Amino acid sequence: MTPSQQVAEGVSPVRRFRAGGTGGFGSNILPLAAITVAVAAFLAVTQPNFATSSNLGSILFGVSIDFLAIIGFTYVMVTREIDLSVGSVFALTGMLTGSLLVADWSFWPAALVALAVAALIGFVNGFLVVRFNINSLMLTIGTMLLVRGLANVLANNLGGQTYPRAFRQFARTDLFDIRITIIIMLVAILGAWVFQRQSALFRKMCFIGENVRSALVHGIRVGRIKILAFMASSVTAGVAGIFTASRITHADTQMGMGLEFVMVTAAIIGGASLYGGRGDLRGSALGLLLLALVLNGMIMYDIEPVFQQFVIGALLIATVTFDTVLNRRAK
Amino acid sequence: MADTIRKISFIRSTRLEQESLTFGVVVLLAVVLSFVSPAFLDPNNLASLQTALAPNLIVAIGMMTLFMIGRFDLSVGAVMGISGIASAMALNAGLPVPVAFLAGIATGVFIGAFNGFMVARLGINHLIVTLGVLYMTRGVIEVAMSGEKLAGFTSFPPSFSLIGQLQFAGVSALFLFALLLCVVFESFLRLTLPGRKLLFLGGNPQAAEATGIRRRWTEFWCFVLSGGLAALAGVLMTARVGMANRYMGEGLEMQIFIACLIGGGSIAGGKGSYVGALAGVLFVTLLTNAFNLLSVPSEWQAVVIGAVLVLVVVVDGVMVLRKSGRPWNGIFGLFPNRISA
Repeated sequence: MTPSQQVAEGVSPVRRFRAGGTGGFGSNILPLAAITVAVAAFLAVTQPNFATSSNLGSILFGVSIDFLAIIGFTYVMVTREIDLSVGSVFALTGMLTGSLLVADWSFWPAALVALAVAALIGFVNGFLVVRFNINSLMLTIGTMLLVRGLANVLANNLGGQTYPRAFRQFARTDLFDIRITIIIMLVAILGAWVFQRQSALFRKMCFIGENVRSALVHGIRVGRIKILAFMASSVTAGVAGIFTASRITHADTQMGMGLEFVMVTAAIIGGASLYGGRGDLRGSALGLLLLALVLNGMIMYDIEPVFQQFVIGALLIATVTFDTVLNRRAK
Repeated sequence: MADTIRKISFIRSTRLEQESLTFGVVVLLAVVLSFVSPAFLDPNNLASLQTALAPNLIVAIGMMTLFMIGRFDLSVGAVMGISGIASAMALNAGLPVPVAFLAGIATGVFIGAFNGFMVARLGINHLIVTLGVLYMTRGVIEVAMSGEKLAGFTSFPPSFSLIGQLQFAGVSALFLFALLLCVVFESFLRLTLPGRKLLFLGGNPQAAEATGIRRRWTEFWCFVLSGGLAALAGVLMTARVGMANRYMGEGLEMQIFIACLIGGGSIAGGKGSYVGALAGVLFVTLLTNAFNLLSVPSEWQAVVIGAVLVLVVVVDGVMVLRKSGRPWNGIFGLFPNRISA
């Protein structure tokens, strides 16, 4: 907290409090959890199909895969940048792994090559943003289109072929009778808890998001940390993409479409901000879960699936409005 | 420097350096295309080029206005689609043509006003608002078109289709109208006080507000203008192709965005001209035309568009750094001075 006070001189006490203080940090987790439980309870009471183990299991499975992708994304948002290319990187990595496997590679080399490609994309994003001081929203829209195009090239080459059997089974790997991705999610949340409470790196990220200039003056390697965050975002999106490709068993051009907006919405619901300096992986996970419950509920209530797009857009605007208005109050 | 006052060239004094560069590239592209592909100078191809140029230019005029004040609108493609569908629905319900025309425009103006309200009044990031609106509008289009055939609405009264088919001496009236609009806006920008205020506002918002320019008010009406022009383009396009379906305007926002950046606009604001919008639109439309003539697969088209966007954004970023007085060495050198932000 002491360096924070030095850095945050001239920023109002409220903002400092919410940025890094022990009381403010993660303070919206409990209300968010309460809302999520309330939505789940409402659906469980009104819809008999909701509380079945298969439905809950598939919701949790889906959330746990998306969660892998939001890990890096949340930390990019903490440094006051954004990475809209996650959905495309997610698709590209999954399809690249799949097509390498179809070309008779074995699993680990294929996955590692695909993840290296993802890391490269993240590096390019981060490097361009840092070096040329570019608005990351704009730049990553460009890389989103570019990478999406490359992913579609791969999908076209595969032409609806299914991936090898071993790879199709991969996402269904169980550990203690629970899907492995769910276990990874739980471990990652515990890890994030420690990371966010204990590590200097997370604190530095918060400073960068709060005030880049003073972070630079205080000798924080802003460029390096931002590039690292972008790489983490692409790699985690890639890992999720590999699981998803295995889950949907074939190349699909729709894979990861609009994922970035789901993630922005979930991250902001979970306590991150477009204005940087904040972010909580536990909250992001809850945000994803809440969104998944809402979408699942809409399906239960027979609301047209095409209407989901409308709801995602509306939720995005609503959460960002909330975020902006809150930020203005704090200043 | 001290001995003579150098005469400033016309291009320099009108700040059209980037625009003339883009025009040069466009001419080059056209010459190359006419050599590479014999179909390029075919009357049919030229006619379809006009048809593609007209709505793009109309939308780009609205987008360029926003660029000048440092904003942009990604919902234009969806607005174009929904306003075409709105006027088609009105015609289907038996309303007269002028009413249907106005219904389409009103839809766009309403969406533009919503964007403007969120950005100017509530101060929300314009990219997020317009992206969200893009999603919502596409959702509404899907709902409105569910149950319709893929081609959508196709039967229109002849007086409506006539608007799109009108020609003067072999040149499409739509194209001439778009050019006229461009000239009108360019003279508004260069000859009137409100036009100059737009650039001033984008260049230095604080200073502009201090001199009494109403920032929020201007922002709001620029968004309304952008929505209205996108709707106008949508309705005219519906009249031209005789179809209103869910595919109209898909991905258009990125093309127009690139057109405005290439034509001299900047994400940071305070730059740009409507002539530049014309140059940018010519470039993007020719590029799309080239893709089609050389039958480039659509996924590679997306790769090229994305790469062009990245390139343009990077160049824009470098230009902004240069404007703030950083030496070339500090931008491209191995060890740049990192204290810039």
